[in-house]
Amino acid sequence: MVRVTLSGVTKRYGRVTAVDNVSLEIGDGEIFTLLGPSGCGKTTTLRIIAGFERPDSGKIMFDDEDVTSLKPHLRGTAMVFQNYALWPHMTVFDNVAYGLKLRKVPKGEIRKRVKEALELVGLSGLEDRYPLQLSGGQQQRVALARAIVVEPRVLLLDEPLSNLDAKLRLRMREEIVSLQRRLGITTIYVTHDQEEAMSISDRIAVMNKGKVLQVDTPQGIYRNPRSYFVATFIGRTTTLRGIIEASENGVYRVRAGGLTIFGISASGRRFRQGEEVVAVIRPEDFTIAGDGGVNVIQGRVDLVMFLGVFNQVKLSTPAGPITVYLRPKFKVSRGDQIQVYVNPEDVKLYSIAEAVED
Amino acid sequence: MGKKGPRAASLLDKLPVDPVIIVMLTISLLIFALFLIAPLASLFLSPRSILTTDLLKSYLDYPYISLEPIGDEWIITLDRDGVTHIIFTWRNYGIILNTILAAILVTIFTSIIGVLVALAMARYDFPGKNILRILVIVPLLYTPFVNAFVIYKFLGDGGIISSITSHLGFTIEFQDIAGMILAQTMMFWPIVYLNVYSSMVQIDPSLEEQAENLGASGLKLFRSVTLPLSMPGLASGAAIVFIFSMEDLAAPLAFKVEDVISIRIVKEILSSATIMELSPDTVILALILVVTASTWFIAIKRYVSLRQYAMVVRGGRWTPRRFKPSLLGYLLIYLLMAPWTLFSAIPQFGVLVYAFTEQWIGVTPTGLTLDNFRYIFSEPVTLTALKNSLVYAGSAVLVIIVIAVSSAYVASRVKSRLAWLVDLLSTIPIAIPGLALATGLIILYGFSRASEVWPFSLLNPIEYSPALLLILAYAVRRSPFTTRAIYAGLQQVHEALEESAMNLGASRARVLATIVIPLIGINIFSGALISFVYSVAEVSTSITVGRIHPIDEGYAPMTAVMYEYLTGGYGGGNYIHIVAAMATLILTVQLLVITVTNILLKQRYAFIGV
Repeated sequence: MVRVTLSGVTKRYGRVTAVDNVSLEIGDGEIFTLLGPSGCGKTTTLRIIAGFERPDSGKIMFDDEDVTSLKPHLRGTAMVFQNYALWPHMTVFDNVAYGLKLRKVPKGEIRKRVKEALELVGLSGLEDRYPLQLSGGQQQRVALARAIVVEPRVLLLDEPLSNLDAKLRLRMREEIVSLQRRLGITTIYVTHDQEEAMSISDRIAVMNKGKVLQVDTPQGIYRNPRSYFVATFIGRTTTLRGIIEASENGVYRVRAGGLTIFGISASGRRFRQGEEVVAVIRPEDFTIAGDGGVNVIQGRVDLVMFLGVFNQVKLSTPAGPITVYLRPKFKVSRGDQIQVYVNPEDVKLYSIAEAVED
Repeated sequence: MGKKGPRAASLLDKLPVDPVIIVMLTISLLIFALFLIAPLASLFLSPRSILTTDLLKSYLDYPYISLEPIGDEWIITLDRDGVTHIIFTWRNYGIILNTILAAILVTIFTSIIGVLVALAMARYDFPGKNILRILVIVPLLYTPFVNAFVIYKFLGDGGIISSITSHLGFTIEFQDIAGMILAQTMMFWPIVYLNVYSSMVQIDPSLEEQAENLGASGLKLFRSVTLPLSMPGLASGAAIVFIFSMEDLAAPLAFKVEDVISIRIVKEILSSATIMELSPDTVILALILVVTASTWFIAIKRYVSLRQYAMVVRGGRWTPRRFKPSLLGYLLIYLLMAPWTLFSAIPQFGVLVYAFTEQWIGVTPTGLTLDNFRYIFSEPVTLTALKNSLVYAGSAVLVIIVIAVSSAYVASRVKSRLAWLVDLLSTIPIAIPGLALATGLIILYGFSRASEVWPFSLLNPIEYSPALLLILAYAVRRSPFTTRAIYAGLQQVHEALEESAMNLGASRARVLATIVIPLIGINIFSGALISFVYSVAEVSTSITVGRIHPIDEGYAPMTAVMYEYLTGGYGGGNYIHIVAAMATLILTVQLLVITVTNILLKQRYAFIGV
């Protein structure tokens, strides 16, 4: 198990820069997730780590070993592909045993280790089946068993859950985490599903257009998104456009439509008076408020949707539509006039340029 | 209801009771029954009186099967005048064993070459690849008989290659069946290549990447993942090559081979027509062809369907695996693969040389001329044959369109056992040796009692013109090309398009006429063109059924006349040049058709396979 370091890795395809000067440090035994929309370069980054693509520039290190130009079959990584890539002409046993045979492990031990690996993923007894005779979830487990059985230096998971149905996805998610915790293999996980990323990762790198925008813990990414893209890509948000009117102790007063709201700069950058900004607010940061006071917004209820834990309420306000999550104990219905409050700390301001570019 | 009720009902239950579909089903089944199944069946049934046990026993001995081969050596080396002569020859195991052994060897050679070239073309990028991609197809261009004669010209007795190498102190000559095997390997290897290549490019790249990721590379990767996943293509290609080798006439004719089944059948079939009696040789040898070929075909078809993994893949991305060859790779590509590919394309170019020259004795041809073509258009025998071929092939195409639209539509839209049968019947003609079918047709419509019953008596090729029977034989043998093209088109037409029209009140017939046929028109047209070319180039039934009457009676199609010229002393001293000119005409039409269909279907030239 190793520490994986990428420094200045760039990969271009023609005029498209798929991976743009990416530097990452992934700790030994960590679950590290590359998160981003499709085409953001996360899978290419993973394939560069596996050795299927050679970067145009930059370096990849496993601990102190430079593996940048090492052939994939010599890297000692194990990858789980999005489509599982199970060999249809081999049984479950042969699929899982493949890597061990290549490592010239004695027959008896292969048998033992395959058995253990299949037990670990809960597939005992299916050794003689062919992949096509298995369900999607079972195929997933075979792919996982095949990867962990060789005790790889790094485990690479490329959207491993995207082909499973919603319920199975939740279960496999837990299983992968507990398996990783038990084995302690350095794991790099690629997904476009932010909830998945939040729930399994020690740390997350959010990528867009080939660049890493932010590396942080899930909490850090969620609570303190440093850029407009990260803020809006993760979770639900309401965005309001406005103009900076004044600032005091790092809190800005923003004129947004017919409203005045207070917020803080997300990136720490200072805004000038009169500068155009976008305010991003998460729906769960709103609460029902009494009359008057700072950051109290009045609006008319347009739509109420029951989500279980929350009611998702869409309000029409002088600044435009906003979405708030309210506890079901607050009974609201369409047409009601209500007032909601949001703490200025939870109103994140970004420069308009960032939002427009996105 | 009778006792058979439940079974019959379950068969029909799944069949939508739709008059149009029933008519289509009936037409296809009827034509295949009358002109494919019945003639083949008559091979097994009619000759009871001929096939006595004693006679059958005699087939276990020379000249049919000889376990003590005649001839001592495979390779002879002679030293004469300081030149070493290397002669590849054949130990004669009798007609039946010779044929099967040669077919096995040709299958092995073509498989090895085809797989290696497919691997290079599918996984590596190298300068000149696009030129090779085109050259590879050249041996598949149909130039009946003549290409094999060019191979003989180069590597047979006193061949061009020997004339050149004799200056280096040695010569190489291929004799008899050894030459036939060489020629067939050169002619047929692209069939394996095309099938394996298309298998290889369909392998999900992640399957190979996963193996690499777990530590496999090079030969291990090829053996454990790439090759097993290419087996469906290899098996299909190999099966076709085996069958083609058994029924091939060109190579044995060129290398003057007597003791193989195909040559023997053609000789016997004609003598049986003149003496108005069936020779047991014809029937038994044809039976051996059918049984061997169909056993192979069914075995391979089963094998392939078991291994059509339909690729477990959903989602994921598809990064084609293309590499730069290593130094050794480059050497293999440029020193072995490219020269071989070039070499196996020589025969087709040689055909052109023959066609446009007066003489080709020794190394260089002489007398550039168009006389050979003038001859074809002025000599009554050849001109009639040309017209016949166009008329027969043209009429066959009309029948083919009916068969192909019906069977492709039924096969793709109806879920029933009968539809499965139609599907099988519409692909199997590729695997049925034409000579066996021809023999069956002559037995059934020339000699059997059925041939005396109207309307079948009209088909009698001995009493009347063989035209009708030839047209129907072409139709059955060449329909798979059109059926496939249409089937591929129908796969693109979503059934919902038809269902929504029916839902709005259109009948099935109306849906066919207004929705389906307009959408697959291009496929019908292209498929029909391909079937047309291959009907013009058809050999097996043409030189048997088409030659029952002497060729100057004016019934024979082009290939029959070509065969007659090559064996019967027509055309004087430069008969090969005249035949080559006819082959060039066929080649030209073929190139036109390939160009047109490639443009229309945007599809590669890969029609040959199980």
